[in-house]
Amino acid sequence: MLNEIIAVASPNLMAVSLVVAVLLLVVQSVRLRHREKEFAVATEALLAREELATLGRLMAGIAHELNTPLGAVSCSVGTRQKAVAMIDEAALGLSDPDADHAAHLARIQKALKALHGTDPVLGEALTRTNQLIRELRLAGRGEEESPQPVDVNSIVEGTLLLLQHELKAAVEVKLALGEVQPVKGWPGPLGQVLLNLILNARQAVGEEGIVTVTSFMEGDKVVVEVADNGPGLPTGCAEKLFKAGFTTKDADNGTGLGLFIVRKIVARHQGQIAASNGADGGAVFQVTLPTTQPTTQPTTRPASGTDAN
Amino acid sequence: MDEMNAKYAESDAQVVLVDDEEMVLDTLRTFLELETDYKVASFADPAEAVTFGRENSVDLVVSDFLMPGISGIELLREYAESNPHAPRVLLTGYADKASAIKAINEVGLFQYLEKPWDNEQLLVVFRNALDRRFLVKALQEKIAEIDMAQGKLSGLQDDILRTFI
Repeated sequence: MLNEIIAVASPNLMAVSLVVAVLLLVVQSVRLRHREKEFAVATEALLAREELATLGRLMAGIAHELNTPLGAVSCSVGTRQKAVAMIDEAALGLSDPDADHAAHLARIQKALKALHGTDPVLGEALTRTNQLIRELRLAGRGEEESPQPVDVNSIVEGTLLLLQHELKAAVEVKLALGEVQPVKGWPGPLGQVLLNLILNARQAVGEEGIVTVTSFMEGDKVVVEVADNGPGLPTGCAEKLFKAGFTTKDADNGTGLGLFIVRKIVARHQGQIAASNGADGGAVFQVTLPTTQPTTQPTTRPASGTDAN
Repeated sequence: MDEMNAKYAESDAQVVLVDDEEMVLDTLRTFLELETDYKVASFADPAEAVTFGRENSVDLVVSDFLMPGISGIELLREYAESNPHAPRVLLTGYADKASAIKAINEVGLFQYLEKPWDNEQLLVVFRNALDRRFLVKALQEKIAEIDMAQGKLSGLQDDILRTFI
């Protein structure tokens, strides 16, 4: 009797088990896809946060950089107002025949000297402010527009201008920018690459040190190198450096996402990035980018650096 | 105070300005030349300012905080040694505030001013600092006079004693 029941039920039981197993697999697969999507969203959010943190740090430096021309303008405007008031007063005094004309003329001369003294300062302050705003606008631009020819050297110079406050006390920046062809890409993200590499170099040198930025042509590619004279990369970490979450810094100074973002941006420009230790022991980061017009030019590495400070 | 300070005029005041930004130095110098009769020495290179302080008597030193080579705090520490009675003022940007406040006790700042500064406030701070400087200077001179008089008195006392003993 039992055998008969088993003989009848067995094929059905197997079919039901199979259906259940398939259903379980489908549910697992849907869950897995859902998790993957969640992970991708979380990663993007984390990267966006890191980019915002970098931008925030940059903004603090920019605020300081703007303070100098702003302070100069504000003080100079005050000086000019005072000088004009002095001239008005002295001119009124001159109309009095009994007044001490020599004293009034001396006051007018003093006021005119102040007016002439503030002129170049106002001009320079406005030029500096315009430069900073221009670089800031470039740094804030994303990849909304189609890629365009970008001069890597001007990106280097612009980034250094934005980082002036961060660098000037501790770091001597040496520039060895050769003649390079334009690369095809986006100025904002390329600026972010250099910003990250230069800030890393600045952190690596500690209290005092040298950061050298070099650009040159290697065949039909543009190479930009950021080198420092810090302690260099720990043995065996050159490969892991560009992975998300890897950092050699303490928790307050590094999230391990900076170089991950850098590699992503470089890859979007069809370029490569490599890290190594230089002959003097410090770290060297080399970014290689294709040019807009491929040529068969030989390597044109500049001979030595010039002081950027 | 007024009686003692009356012997010093604005034109006696040697003011030292230090900032690696020429723009800031030019602006401050033009403003001070219009508003005051101070003798102003300005330096974009803090090392030169240190040398000037070692070789000259300074009445007020005003320095930026973040500069290449020598920081504002190091510079003011140097001045605390070379010109201990000259009030020390730090004129710096907001971003440096935390570090600057930490360092205030190290060098005994007279005042901390933020960039961008207010001309009138800056002038009040400078005038107060120089008032204090000249008061101390006048006091030092009075003390020196009293010391000298005391020395003469002691000599006279010795002479009298020698005459009678």
